[in-house]
Amino acid sequence: MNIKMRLTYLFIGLLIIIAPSFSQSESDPEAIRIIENFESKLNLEGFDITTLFTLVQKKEGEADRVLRIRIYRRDLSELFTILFLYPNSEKGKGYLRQGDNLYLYLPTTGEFVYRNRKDDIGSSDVRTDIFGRLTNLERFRASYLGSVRVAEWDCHLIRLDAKILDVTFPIQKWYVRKSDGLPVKVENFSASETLLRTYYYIDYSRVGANNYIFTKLLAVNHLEQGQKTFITNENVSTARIDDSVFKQSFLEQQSR
Amino acid sequence: MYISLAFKNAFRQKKRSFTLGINYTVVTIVLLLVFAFSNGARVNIANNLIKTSAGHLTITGQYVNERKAYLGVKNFPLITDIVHKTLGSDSLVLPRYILSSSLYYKGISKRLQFTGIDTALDTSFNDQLVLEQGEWEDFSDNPNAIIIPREIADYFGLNLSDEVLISTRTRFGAFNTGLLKITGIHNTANFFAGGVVLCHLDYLQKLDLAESDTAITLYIYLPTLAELSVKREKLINALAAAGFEVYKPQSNEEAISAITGSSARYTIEETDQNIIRLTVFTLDEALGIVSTVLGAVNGFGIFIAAILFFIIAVSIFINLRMTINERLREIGTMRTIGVEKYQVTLLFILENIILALLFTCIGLALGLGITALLRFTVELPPSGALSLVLADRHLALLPNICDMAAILLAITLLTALFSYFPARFGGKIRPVDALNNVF
Repeated sequence: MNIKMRLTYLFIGLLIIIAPSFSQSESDPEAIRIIENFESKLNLEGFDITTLFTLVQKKEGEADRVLRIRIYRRDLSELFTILFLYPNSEKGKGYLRQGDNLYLYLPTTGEFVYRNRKDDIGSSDVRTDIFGRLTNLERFRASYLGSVRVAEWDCHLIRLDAKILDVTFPIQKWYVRKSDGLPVKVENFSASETLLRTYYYIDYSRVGANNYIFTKLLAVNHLEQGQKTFITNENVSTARIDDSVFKQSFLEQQSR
Repeated sequence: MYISLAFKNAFRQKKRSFTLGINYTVVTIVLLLVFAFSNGARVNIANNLIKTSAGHLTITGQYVNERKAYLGVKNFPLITDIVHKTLGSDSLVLPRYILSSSLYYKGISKRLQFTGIDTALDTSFNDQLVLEQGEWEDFSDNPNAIIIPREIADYFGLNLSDEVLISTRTRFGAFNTGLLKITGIHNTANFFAGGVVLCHLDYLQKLDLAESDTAITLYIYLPTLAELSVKREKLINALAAAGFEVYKPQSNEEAISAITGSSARYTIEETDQNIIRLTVFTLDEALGIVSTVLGAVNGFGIFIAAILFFIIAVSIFINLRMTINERLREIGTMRTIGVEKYQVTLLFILENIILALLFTCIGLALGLGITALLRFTVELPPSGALSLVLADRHLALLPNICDMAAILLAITLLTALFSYFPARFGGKIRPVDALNNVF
């Protein structure tokens, strides 16, 4: 065994010993304040939101893949419904989230498949959970890592470590803009701290007096070389959504 | 007397007898090859499967913890103890951790199935894998080691000592990643081992964030294969007594899917109890689907043989009618000196049976020769499904003495049956008609 390998094992060993003591510690009050602040802005409680998202997935050496989805969202009840509109091969497919449960509807078989909340939308680089209500403090312990600069913005850097492993990315680093308290970048790591994906929140649109919804987002996949997904969000509507939209029968009906 | 007379008569019309004889020979060779193929494939698949993907008894399972159902055999050290107490301490219990995950190297990725073994216990792959590069000891000494098939090495352009990244969605849903070092590249003919990507059991457990007492399957190897079902019953009772929920597979398909199963994300189960469920299946159940395929192969061979039998039946009929026409005076003379109708009939049947026996035996001898020739001289590339029926790159043809006896018996009986009606016609001719050639 060479020295490099020995050091690697030593490092892993130390991590195993040290990591639990970190994860068991309480969240940093400063980090909690920053998270609560941006979650209060991004969680659209009190609103029914209907939006049209376009996802363009780019892969090196391949033609762009375009997906168009309509999202119906009611954060107060932790509900959202995603309906695939384009391309035709995906049309009629959908997701239904009720609390912690996420179901994928497959129109070809008429089945609802339990997806355990973590799923890439139509094999893109974006997880379904970025469209719903944020509950970071319920599932993560937060620590404040200081100030950093991202592009032209001064940002707070928050590290999240999963309390439970029932999350997609157990370690996350959130870069939150000091000027308006909104996240501009999120780095997502595996349990062994390999950087897997980075989300860049490029632009937001205001909803109501003090709430926001992202309108442009770039998701970069660090494992698949040159693979990224660009999301744009148009036609944000706050009109009331009928309760039936958050039921399985709605997706079944839409696929007919 | 009749037998020696029949033997003499059988070759009076040499050309005709040989034409019919060739039919018997061809049918025999076809049947022998089909049965040898089927038997060889079954033995070959069973041997390969036992060495890599199944035990004499195999345990798979699922456990429920706080309403979440995970795939795998939980608490396998206790199960191992129970196996030793129930089936004897000479039983070998091998835990395996199987995981489907993506491998990344220099921007290229591929989804693969990884098999984790305990190298201290499990040496079956050491005997099975043909390492083109690297040494088994390099693998067993390094907990982060991986052995990959040549095909995968070529796909990524990997060499020994290269480091690759493995990224997986763990059983809980969270992503986890790890680095692995290539310590071996294999090129193995065994169909079930050919695509094996081998890692260490504890490495895959940790990667999947599973507890150290969790395996995906347990393979149990017993000193003898006798009474597997009885041994399974004993084991099921012992496991149930220890508090496990134990089942038998409902179908062979369930056994096959258990063999090929790998760790998956948990599912939700509406129960407040924490349960460990186990399914114990025998090698025969794992081989059930193979039997179905081989049954189809046998069926096809028998169909071909049936067509050939039909041709033989027609040949016997025409042959006998022509023989009877040519031997009317002989029939007339025999009948005049007191030979009974049935004795004439029997004589003709005996002539055909002797022909059938003789040429079937020749067919069996030739079939054995062809089998040996194919088995020992023809070398085939061990790729894809073909490697299922290859033993050391040669077709695994295994002729069986029982099959040979059955072929001989079947051809003899069918010949007797097909000969009976034209022979009876010969026996019925009146002596005066036979002598005057006017029947």
